[in-house]
Amino acid sequence: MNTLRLLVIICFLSTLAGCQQEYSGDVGGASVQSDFDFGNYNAEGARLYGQQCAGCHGVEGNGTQIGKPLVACATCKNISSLAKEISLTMPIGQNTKVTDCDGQCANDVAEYIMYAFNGLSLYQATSSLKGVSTQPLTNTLRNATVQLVGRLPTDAEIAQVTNKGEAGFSSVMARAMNEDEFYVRLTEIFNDVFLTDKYLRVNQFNGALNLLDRDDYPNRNWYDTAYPDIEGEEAEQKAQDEINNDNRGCSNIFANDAVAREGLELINYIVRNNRPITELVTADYTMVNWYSQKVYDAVLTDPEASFTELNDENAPCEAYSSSYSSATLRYDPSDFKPAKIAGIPHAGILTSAMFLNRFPTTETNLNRHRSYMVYKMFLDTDILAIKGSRPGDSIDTTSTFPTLQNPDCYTCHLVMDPVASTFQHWDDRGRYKPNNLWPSSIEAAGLAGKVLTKSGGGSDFDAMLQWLGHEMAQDSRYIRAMTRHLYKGIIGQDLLSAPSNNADADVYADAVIAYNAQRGILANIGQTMVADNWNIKTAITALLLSPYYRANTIDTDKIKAANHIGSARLLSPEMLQRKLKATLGFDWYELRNNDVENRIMFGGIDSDSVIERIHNPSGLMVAMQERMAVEMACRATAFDFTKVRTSEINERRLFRFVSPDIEPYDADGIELLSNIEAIKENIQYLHNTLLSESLPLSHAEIDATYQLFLSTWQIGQAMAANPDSFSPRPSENMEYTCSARWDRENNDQGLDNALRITKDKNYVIRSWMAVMTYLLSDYRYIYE
Amino acid sequence: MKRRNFIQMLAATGMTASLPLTASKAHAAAPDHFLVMVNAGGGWDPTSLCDPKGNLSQYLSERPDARNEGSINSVAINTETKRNPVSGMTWSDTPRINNNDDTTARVDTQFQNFFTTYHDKLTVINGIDNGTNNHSSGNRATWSGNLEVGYPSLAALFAASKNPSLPMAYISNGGYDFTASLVSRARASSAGFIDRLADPNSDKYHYRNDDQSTDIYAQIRQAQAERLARQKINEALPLRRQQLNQLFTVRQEDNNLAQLSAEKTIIEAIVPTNDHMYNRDQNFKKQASLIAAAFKAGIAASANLSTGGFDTHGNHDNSQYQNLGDLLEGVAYLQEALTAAGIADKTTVVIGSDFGRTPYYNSGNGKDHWPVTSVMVMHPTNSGKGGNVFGASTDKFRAQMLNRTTGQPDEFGQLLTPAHINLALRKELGIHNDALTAGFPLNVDDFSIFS
Repeated sequence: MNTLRLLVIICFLSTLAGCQQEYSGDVGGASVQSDFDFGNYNAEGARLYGQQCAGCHGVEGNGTQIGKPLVACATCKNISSLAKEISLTMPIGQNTKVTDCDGQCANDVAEYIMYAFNGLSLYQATSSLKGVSTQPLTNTLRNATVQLVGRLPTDAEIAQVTNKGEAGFSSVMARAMNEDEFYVRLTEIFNDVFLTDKYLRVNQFNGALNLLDRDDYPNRNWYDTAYPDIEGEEAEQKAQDEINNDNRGCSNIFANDAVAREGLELINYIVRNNRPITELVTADYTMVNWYSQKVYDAVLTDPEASFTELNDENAPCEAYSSSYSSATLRYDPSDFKPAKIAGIPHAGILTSAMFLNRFPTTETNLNRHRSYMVYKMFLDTDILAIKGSRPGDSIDTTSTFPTLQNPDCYTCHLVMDPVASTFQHWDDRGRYKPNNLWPSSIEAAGLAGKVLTKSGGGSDFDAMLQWLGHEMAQDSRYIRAMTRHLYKGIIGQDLLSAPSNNADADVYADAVIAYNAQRGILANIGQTMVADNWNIKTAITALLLSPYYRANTIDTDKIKAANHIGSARLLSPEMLQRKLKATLGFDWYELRNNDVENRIMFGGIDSDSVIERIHNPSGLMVAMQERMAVEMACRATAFDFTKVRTSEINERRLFRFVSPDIEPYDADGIELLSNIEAIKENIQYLHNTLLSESLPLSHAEIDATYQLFLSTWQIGQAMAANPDSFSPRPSENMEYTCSARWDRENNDQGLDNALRITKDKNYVIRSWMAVMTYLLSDYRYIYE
Repeated sequence: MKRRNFIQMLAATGMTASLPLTASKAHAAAPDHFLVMVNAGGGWDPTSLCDPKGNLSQYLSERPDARNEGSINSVAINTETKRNPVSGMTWSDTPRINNNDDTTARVDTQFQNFFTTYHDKLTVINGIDNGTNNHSSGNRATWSGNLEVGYPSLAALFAASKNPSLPMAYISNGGYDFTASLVSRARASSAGFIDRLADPNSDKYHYRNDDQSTDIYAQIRQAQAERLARQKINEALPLRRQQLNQLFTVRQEDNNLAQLSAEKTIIEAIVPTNDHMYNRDQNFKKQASLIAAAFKAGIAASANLSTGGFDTHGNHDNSQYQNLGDLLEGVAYLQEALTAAGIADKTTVVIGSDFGRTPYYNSGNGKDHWPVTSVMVMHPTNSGKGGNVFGASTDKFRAQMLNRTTGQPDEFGQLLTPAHINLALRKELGIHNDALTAGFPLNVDDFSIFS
């Protein structure tokens, strides 16, 4: 779109009779990345829409502060119901009569809206997609609990879903989203957006604390004073010195990481307490734990509240690292509470020093980068995608203030600079400076054509970001932004971009259908969330129930553009670790928390210079997966056999139907049918537990896995019969690492001798190890 | 399975489409050329490096408040020792840094060593108009030739065109590395761990005898491959089918990771990373030796090397020159590592940044974003190319019309943009006529940058 067309659109918007605002602020049409032709629309309806409706409802029908979105709107069921609504109620505003668009006008506009914004033929599919069949709900339950809560569903949960369908699923997930593991995943989802984990200790020493001004927060390093070095050679002095060292070191880490995570913990607090997600930008408090409360001298909003202390068995410092075993601190570092910092006009994450430093400014940038990120994160708008061309060699030396006077510049600056100005009291280090001078050569603080009131009793001058937060919370684009973030986190893909009209006509038409269908479903989900007091758990559940998450098969006759449908994705290092823990009881050493390099090699991020996850595995990543499968199979197989399995109690995670003496053939080579059945039952169980594959016993895949077990076992028998003909000489003894000497689920503490398994006389355990390696490297294990 | 057999198998079964890209030709057994993109993250200052303008108060009248009396640089151009008399290639002299003689001398040595040692391999391209002051857009423009979202980086395109199925075809630990799904990115920073990945069963958890005639792990791999083939056929969801295809392709390739560590050891024995920079910024050098080793081992075709610290909005001279010096020394190390690996005559190195910096100092003695920038290209040894400067910015560090053949100012010429640079590089690297590249056209005229 060229500048002239944009200026024309702006002029249209400013002369609309239906609105009081001159400029709607809606840049939907101007920020799409292509010249999106909405297709088979009613030309007269389009003209009338532009004249009477777009100013309030947006050029793309996505809504503005004044008018609701028209994608999957309540009366957008069909042309006639929409036309009726328009003729009875629209347009609204000065100098209009309600009857200004009735009869043919209403029909034309309704038809345009239905085709342009609602993919007319697919409107009905706001919760389902024609041509997409979904997996059984119990499979969806398993995927959801593994992904979001890091565990397999319980039998009771499976029964509830089996018996009560979607209602049962919603209830189960509502309870599951109260578990702590869910908030670990939620933190990851939103850190992928805000990237404030950059400042965690594991990524940067004191990364968060060093951002805070020592003058503003004199107790920034309170632990240095609280736990000083103790001089002296007396045993008691030395002991106290050791205690202080550990308390100091541990507090330093917990304080730093609490400050780094304050924005993400705000999200957790909002969600945990079913508060509206709009508080992400409007909360008049911040989140602290016991350690960071002291950093800020913050005051808890609930004066009666107190922080949780853990018992000695769960001493938090030692749990973090055994090198802090002398620490006496017991306050739970994961216990966050809302608090206020004196003199700070909190506005959710907007006023967090972590956010402000992660997206910094300079004297000449004047908060434009922050504005750009705010638009992207909270208003679903990419300012850089606004069409237009920069002047000449991008430098204007003729205008005094190019961003105000040059149309090639103010195309974007008109949108960006008012929001930039709302940050004027927050300096380049994220400090609150209400007396900061602000130049007049930049648009005044505001949003979407609304200017912030600076003077008078109701002024927002001292709390501009609070004003911004409240304005954004009422902007329909905020809904889209939140659903976009959740879609990415839950489904694992970006939303479709508006199709560009330069491909094959059929391909383009299919792409338009797919794009509009997705927008319809997402708009529906967004509205459902809003209707439930902006509770994002509602949106999450809706996404889990959507065809995008549950898709199982596609009828390619009915739906052409379908590569985006489905939620299978390569597991991130964090998700893989959780899945290993959920299925095997423990995770892989090489990807544990402090091994950032390995995690990055496995496609993870460090929230600093590596901020994009890898979704297509390289040979290196595949090699890591294969290594993981071998090592985890080695450590988990014999260990699982140490667990109790009787007719009354079965504590096994993996081998619930077999024991090390269940062989497929006896010494004379006779098939032991009941043993073979037990082996196959266990294989069936492993396919289900590890790979979410429900297969009958007679299935070819069960047989293929059994054949691997059998051939490994047969090799074992051949080696046992003639050990001297093999080099190295095989033995009954298991390889040291693969023997069951340690409790893998309990920090590798030594197992009692009576429980240990170090021999595998029949080669059965090692045959199961082969099966486990095979399954753990399967596509359905490393993708979810 | 060796690569040749693999390609034959794919062709026989019609499964060439299972490659992660729609390659239309068979691949060579090993890469015959390599590419490294070195990114100076944050927007470097070409006038402090390869396009100096001197301290002539050029902006005094327009910007009376600018520091250093409105000069573009705080040091004069030194034509005696900082210019090659044949090519005219000129590099910045060194201002006093941190009020410290040793630091100043160090940076001066770094600059001098680089430009004198590598002059004959270098094409310096000046006066490029990046068209943006935004980091994201600038990175995209420089490294893909396109300001808009959606174009793969040149290194990704190169790897995809040449050898997409290598286990680490495109190594990137940062910088602009969008691949448009043409090739997988590998983040590879730890060679020690990579060793153990070459053979997942290296600890012999599954029995394998000495002559490998009995190998349980090989049996497991066989079963895996057969299952993956069945899954590909039976999968009804297009998304999963695509993922299965990718996994199938990558798994079939010999990963040759064992070679990586061996090559890295050889390289670092010849050029130890500690030998330079007195242990400063070892990360860059470690990545450089790993990249050279990966190229030599035949498991990678291209790489991003990214280093930051160039976004000098304040205290420009003290920060920018030191970081530029370390960058040059790091790139010099890269060249030495490539030479030690015996592949310096097959490797092109491109050095660039998001954009440039203002031709005047702000009130904090820093420099802000500026859309005019430079790129330096280091050609393969003995290629006969280099020792050349193409393009020019004005005395006031603005872009100007340039003759497309000579690169000299020409009012009837065109502005030189990243699209032109990328087009020339695609030709230089032999990928401009590739089917893949056709999907990402640059739609600009040629500049004879490397002719």
